[in-house]
Order: sequence, then structure tokens, then C-alpha cells
Amino acid sequence: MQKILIVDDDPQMQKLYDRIFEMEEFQVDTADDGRSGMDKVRLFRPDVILLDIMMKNVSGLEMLSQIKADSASREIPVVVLSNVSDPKIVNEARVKGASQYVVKSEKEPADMVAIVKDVLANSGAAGAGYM
Amino acid sequence: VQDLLRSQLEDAGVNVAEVSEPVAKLLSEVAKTYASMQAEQAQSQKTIKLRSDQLISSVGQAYSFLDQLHLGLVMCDVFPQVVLTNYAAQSMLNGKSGKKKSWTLEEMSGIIHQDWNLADKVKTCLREMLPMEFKEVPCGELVLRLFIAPMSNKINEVQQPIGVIILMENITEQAVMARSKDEFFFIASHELRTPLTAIRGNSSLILEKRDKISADMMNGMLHDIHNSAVRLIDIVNDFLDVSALETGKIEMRTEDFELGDVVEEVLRDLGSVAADKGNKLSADSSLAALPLVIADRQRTKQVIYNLVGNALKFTEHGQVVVSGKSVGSLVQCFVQDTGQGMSKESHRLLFRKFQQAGDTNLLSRDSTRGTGLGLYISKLIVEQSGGTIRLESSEPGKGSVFCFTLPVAHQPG
Repeated sequence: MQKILIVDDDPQMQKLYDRIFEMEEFQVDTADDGRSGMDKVRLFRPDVILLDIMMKNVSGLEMLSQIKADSASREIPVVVLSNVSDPKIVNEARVKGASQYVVKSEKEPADMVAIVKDVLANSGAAGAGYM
Repeated sequence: VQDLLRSQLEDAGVNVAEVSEPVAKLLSEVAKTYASMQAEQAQSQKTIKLRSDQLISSVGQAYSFLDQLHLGLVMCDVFPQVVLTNYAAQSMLNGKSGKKKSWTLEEMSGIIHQDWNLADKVKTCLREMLPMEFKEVPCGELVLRLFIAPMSNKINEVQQPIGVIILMENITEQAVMARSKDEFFFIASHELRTPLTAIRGNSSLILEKRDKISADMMNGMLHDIHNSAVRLIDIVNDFLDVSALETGKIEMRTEDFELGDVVEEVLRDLGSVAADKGNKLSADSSLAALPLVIADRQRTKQVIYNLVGNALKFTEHGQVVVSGKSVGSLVQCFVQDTGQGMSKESHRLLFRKFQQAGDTNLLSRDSTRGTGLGLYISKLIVEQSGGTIRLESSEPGKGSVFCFTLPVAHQPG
């Protein structure tokens, strides 16, 4: 069973992605900010991370830097999720090592599953795509 | 003078009588020359006095002209030391309450921005003798546009630097307007998309995977769809309120009413929210003694709802008390909580559009805390009702007190 960590401070979003991936038989864990997210990365050791950008305390971009700075978590693919489609932020996520950047409102649950499965299949391979 | 010369010649052993005629002639010439020199000197002194007065008056005019400018102007010499600071520059550097009139360049650097060293820029300008422009420089609560230009003078056919002139334009209002427009699109798109995503995602799951969904999960999903729809309506209402209040399109339906009654209604509405977080919510007896106020009752309720709602949002297992006081022709209403409180830094932007306390970075917004329009809307409503709203006091860990005022209704007779 593959493990997915969902880091989003909005309870509705968290529950939605939890439902989507539980139905796909992923083992799901959640965190609601970058700080507790990093603890979960260490303890839960996910195969893939869904990471929201706009969060209180430690933002998604800061957490992304922390994930990629730690040799224990560097290889975990991160799908950055946001409802912010600012090209500057998309680019910053790309530079910081996100595997995918997804604008939440533009994707159906089935699209999200396909993106995550695709990222997992290609994990370890170089290069990042943007949807 | 003649007597003086004569006595000196005699002292020197000259028989003055023998040479009396030529000496007398000479002495008379000397005396004439001396008299005309004195006359000339008097004339020169008059002229110098006149010119000095003219100069003083011109310098005075120049200073008063510089003080009339709405542009801040600071002049430095070649060392570079500040030699002149006009009134506009003084007010920009002093902020709201300062009375200082002169600063060193280092002191100015300290005020303008910690990461932006004015003294260094001035030295660079002097060294390279080229003008520099800086479009947005934070200075305390202001945003300035700075223009730093070298001054030179032709000495012995060579242009020599004589100093630097710094022009400061206060562009705070334009900067805030531009930023709030950007922020509006950024935040509006984010705030609207989030509940829409929840509605889209959950309904899509229900449509596609109905068979796999347990009764419990279905219940949760329907609740989320409903809550998202409610949130969306709240957000849209906030945006519409802001737009209508800003453009003066909301008609205030003024009537005389008791503030205490409105407070009671809000406390009833928010009773369960308070109880959920273990908070004691109460109205102080001072409200009963207040005179009637004149304002839009429904909009006043919205303000109290916002303030009490905020107080409850940041308080857990504490107290929120609403009290009142009558001061002259105004009624003051206080909302006091024992919650988180705020740092000094977050006080100043509190009533700005989209502001969430303690929030300096858009990316670290707490999206569960709402649009950040509540206090801004409250401010617009209170001000359009002839009152004011302010943060009375706040301390991290101890809680906050907000206060707004409304005019007292005219008593019949």
C-alpha cells in the first residue's frame, strides 16, 4: 500500500483529498501546516506528498525547501497544490524541486489520482512537469 | 589728524616751524584723503548692510520656498554631511509624532529602512557623479520614491562635486492602492476557488464512486458541500459589501435604537460558537444605561458581529465581554477578550483590506480565518455612520479591546 501525506491547512481540502486517496487504497496521513508537515514526513515516511502553498506558520514553499534540503526526504516526490496560479510562485515551486504544480480548482478527483500515480511511476526520474 | 602728525613730528625732533608750509599742505592733503576715505567707508558699510539684508531675505525666501514644497528635500555637502532638510522631509522622517529637525545621514538610514542604507547610496552618488532613482522605499509607515542627484560647480574651469541632493516623494497612497488591487485578485481568486474546489471534488466523487461511499462518508461529504456553499456566499457578500461601501452605494438606513438590544441579538447568535470553544460571552450592565444611538441598526449589528466573532476566533477557554460608555455626543462600545492578543507590529495594518493580524506574507495566510475583510468592512460602516473604530489595546497572550463609537440620537425636546 502506498503512502501519501496531505499537507493543507483547509480542513475541507484535507478531507477531500483524504477521501479521494483512501478510495484509491492509499495509506493517508494529513498535516495542517508546514511545521507539523515536516514531523509527519519524518514519522510517516510517505511515498508522495501533496503540499498546499498558502498555509499559516510555515508556508508550503518553505516546507518544500525543507523537504529537499533533508537527505532523508529529498527523493520523495512532491505535488504542489494551490489555488494560487501566480506564475512567479509556480516557478519558485519548480526551482525548489516540486514534481508537479496543480491548481486545485482545475482538477477533478480522477485527475488528481492520475497525476499522483504518474508522479509515483516516474519518481526518481529527473525533470518536473506542470499541469 | 593734523594735530596728531604735528605732535609726532615734534617728538621726532623735527622743527615744525621750518617746514611748516609744505607740511601744512601735506597735512591738509592727508586730512582730505582721510575724510574722503571715511565717507567711502560709510558708503561701503551702507552698501554691505543693504546687500546682506538682501541676501538674508533671499535665503529666507529660498528656505520658505523649500519648506512649501510637498517634496522632501535633503542637501548634503561633499563629506557627505546633511546641511539642509526641508519641512516636507522633516515630516516624512518624523512620522506622526516626531518633532526632530535635523538628522545625520546615518540616522536617516536607520529611519528609512533597515536593509536600505541611504548613507551608502549618497556616497555612491558622490563617487560616480550620476543621479539615482529608487521607486519604492519603505520609511516607517510611508512608502517613498527617492531621487538622489549629485551637485557640482565649475571651479577653475573644472566641474567639482559640491554635494548631493536627495528628493523624497511620498507615494504611500499610490503604493497601497496598487498593492491592494494586486492583493484583491490574488486573495479573491484563492478564497473563491477553495470552497468551489470542495464542492466540485466532493460532488464529483459522489457521482463517480457512489457505490464505494459509506453512509457516514456521504454525510460528511454533503456537509462539506453545504458548508462550502455557505462559505462562498459569505465571501461573495463580503466582496459585495466592500465594493458597495467603498463606492458609497450602500444606503445607511438610520434609526434610533438601543445598542444593548443589538448586542444581545449578536450574543444570542454567537452563543453556540462561544460555547464550542469554552468561552464565556457576556454583555456588561453598562450597556443598559446608554442613551439611544442613531445609525443603521442592521449594519451596526454586522460590526458587533464582526468584532465579537473575531474575539471568539482568537480566544479559547476565556471571556469575551461587550460593554458601553456614553461620552458627550457619542456612545462608545467596547469588545474585550482574554484571547491571544496581538504584537505591536500587527496593530498598524489591522483595519486594512484583507489584513489578517500578524500577517505580513500572503503565502502564510491562514485561509480558515476568512477573507480579512471583516475589520475593513466594520471601519467603513462605522465611519459612514459618523463614528470611529479602533484597537483600544492589545497584548500578546493577554487579549485585545476593540472600541467603536456611534452618535447619540437627538433627544426629543
